[in-house]
Amino acid sequence: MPCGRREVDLCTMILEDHFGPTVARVGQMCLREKLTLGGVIVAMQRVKGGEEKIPPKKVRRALSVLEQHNLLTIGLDSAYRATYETNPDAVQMMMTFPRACLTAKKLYGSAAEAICEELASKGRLSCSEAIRRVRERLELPAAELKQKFCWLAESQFLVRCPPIESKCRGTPVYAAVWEKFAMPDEIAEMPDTTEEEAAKQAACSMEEDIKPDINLLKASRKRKAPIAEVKKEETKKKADPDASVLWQINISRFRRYVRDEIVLEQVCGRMRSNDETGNSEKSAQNVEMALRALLKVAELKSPNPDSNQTPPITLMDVVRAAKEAEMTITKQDLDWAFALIVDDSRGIVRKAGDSGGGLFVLDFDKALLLAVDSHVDSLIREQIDSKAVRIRRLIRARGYLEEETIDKTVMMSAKQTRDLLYSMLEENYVCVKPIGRTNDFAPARTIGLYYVDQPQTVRTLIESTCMMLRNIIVRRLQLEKDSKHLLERQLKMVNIMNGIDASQNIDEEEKRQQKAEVEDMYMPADVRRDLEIFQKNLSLLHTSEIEIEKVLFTFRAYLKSVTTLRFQPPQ
Amino acid sequence: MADKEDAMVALLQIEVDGIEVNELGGKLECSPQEGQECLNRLLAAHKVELIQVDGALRVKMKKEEHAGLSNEERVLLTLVDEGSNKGIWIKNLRDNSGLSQIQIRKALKTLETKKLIKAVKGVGTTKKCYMPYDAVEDVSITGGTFYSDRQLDSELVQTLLSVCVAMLTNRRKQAVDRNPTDLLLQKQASFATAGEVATFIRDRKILHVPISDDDIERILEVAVLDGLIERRSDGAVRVIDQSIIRSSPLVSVPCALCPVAIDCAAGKEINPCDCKYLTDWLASK
Repeated sequence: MPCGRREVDLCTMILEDHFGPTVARVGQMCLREKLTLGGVIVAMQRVKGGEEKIPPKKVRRALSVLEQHNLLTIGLDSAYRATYETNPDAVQMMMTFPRACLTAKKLYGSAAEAICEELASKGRLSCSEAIRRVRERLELPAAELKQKFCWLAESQFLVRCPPIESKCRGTPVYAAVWEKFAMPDEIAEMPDTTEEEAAKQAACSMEEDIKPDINLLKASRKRKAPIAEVKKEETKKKADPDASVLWQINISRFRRYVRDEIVLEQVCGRMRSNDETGNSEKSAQNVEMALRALLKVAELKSPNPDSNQTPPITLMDVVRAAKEAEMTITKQDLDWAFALIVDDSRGIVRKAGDSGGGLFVLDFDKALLLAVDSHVDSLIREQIDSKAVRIRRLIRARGYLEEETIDKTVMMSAKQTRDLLYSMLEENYVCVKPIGRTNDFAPARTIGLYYVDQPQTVRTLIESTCMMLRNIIVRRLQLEKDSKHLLERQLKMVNIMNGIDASQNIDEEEKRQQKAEVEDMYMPADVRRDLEIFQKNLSLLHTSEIEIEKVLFTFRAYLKSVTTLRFQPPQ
Repeated sequence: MADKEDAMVALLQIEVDGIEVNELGGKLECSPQEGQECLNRLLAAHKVELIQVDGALRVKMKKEEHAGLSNEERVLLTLVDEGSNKGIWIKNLRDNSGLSQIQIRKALKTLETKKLIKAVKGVGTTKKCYMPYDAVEDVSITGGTFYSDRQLDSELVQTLLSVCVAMLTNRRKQAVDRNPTDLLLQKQASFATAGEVATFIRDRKILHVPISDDDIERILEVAVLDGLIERRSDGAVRVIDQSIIRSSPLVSVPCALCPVAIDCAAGKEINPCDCKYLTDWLASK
């Protein structure tokens, strides 16, 4: 899929963040065009100012890293040579891994989170290998981990990688149909933790504690401690029974979860406005519960999980789902909550009939549309003026309009209206269609009709959002590089303090004194302040990155919903 | 013959509304042909004029002030009269009269100096329109309540907007107080129609200018576009709680509002690594 310049920049930065500059350069080259191995190697020899040549061996390695993380599309060119192309969507999905791990934690606990972390950091793993890796850092019984893994696979948060069906001139051909979520019959036997291993794990976890665990993914990459490597060597002696069944994180499932969250935000966000008394608070909770139950039924009932709206769902089904999920809500409350939701959700939940206690349809597209509208309005308000939002809303509601009609309806002076319209035109928020009264299109006899092309606006915004994200990642990497010495200093200090704690031959008082001395030496007030500022800035950049990534997802999901519709949705 | 003409003039001076052409012969006690000739002569001398009333042709004395006008001026004056208080644009005058630009300009100037017509400019347009001197301008020219001196009175609009929103906010608050437990009833009770809002404003005598229901409807439309109020399908409106509107995370990052974003790239003069806007943003949080 071709992608824009800013999108390529963003993907390159993501690759650099995760795998370093070499993989990023190789990945960038394959983002721009489909290349054979020879093509990539030659491209890496052509260097621009300041860059180093990448030797063929490293290029191969970089490509294998990309393949391991499911980022490459392998194809054949007309001469039957294997071609490599980086998949920009897959690269951008790597940004959602922290969110995916958090979702797994929310739904199935920290063991599930650890499994997701392992899969995120390794790209793809067999079930046995994933469980083994998690056990290396967390003291959890294998049976529980296997159970969690099963749950994740059952609820489709994990998916099996497509098996290789055959090979065509050395290029793998992946199966088109395969058992996507079936667990392997047998996984490796895991003996209970021995004392020796427990000690090793303790050492491992101690080392981890020292490192600031801000980026889940980065942290899990660092966990590749040498001890783990040694152990891996030992266990490698006999192959796992499920070694050929590899799993990866099913990002599209996590994305559906995010989409459901957007629906909740759009509906419940408005209900919360009524929070003025304690009773309203309870009503808002009921509404949220009703909607969650509805989403649960929608998940089970929809024939196609990516469809734009759910089939009609009866109230009875929702009541049953609420009971199964152990929600404390009565049928009467649910009935009442739905009356409120249908009335106030601006078309996200519609009533489709009365059978079975009431039939309800949940429109995901509408929720996305409203979410996109709120982002666009917010941007216009900040970039141009709140009166520009007024003008744009009018044009969206009425379609093609002349300047004169606009300024009369929005009750603003012609000059101000024109000023705002031109500003919006520049940023692609509105478009203008010239209509010639005569066929020579002389300027004096041509009028311009303003209209809003929301998909086009969103496409422009996706580009600028990609740039924003790239800037934030660049800035974060720069910040991490600049403050490396601070982290090293902190690490050294913590190591020494641990050493003091562990030593047997000094009493408590002396330990405290020594620790204070070490702290004074390694962490004087100014260094401590710098470290605090660094950590605050880092978390701010991370938060913004995660939030903006969600907006980017909203934009993309909206575009997808618009382009898959046969007709334009009513504006 | 001259006697007949004098008789006709005398008759027409009595009959202010004019006489039907067919009846001329009878009234003057002469043959229709004679009457016809007599009429033609008077028409040529611009003493009388023919007008069409309900499909019948009537002959009438020409008004005194129109008497000294040239043919072109007379044609233009008739067209302007037809335009009445809505005014007629110079381009339409040219098309309808078939006169040249120079002739029209000259004739209009004369008419203006004789205070028979006046030139006016409508709101929000530079088009010059002509209308009879004593006509009262139409709303489409003056713009209505919200315009003073052909200029939009933004302050009046803003005041009315805030008064309407304040009234609806109050209504919603009362609705919540009266029905503390029932969200549906709260919602129903917070709606008000445009008529109610208009009555409220008129009763309180907030404004010195008279205000109609339609004016309030226009103001409410603007408030709907601003996202301050929402409209039900039956036209009633209620205020939207502004506290639920959250700004997008996009605007929290300075890159969204950066004036030099287009030139920003790694390794260039403007780059995210040492961007002043990003530094200030990080420092301010």
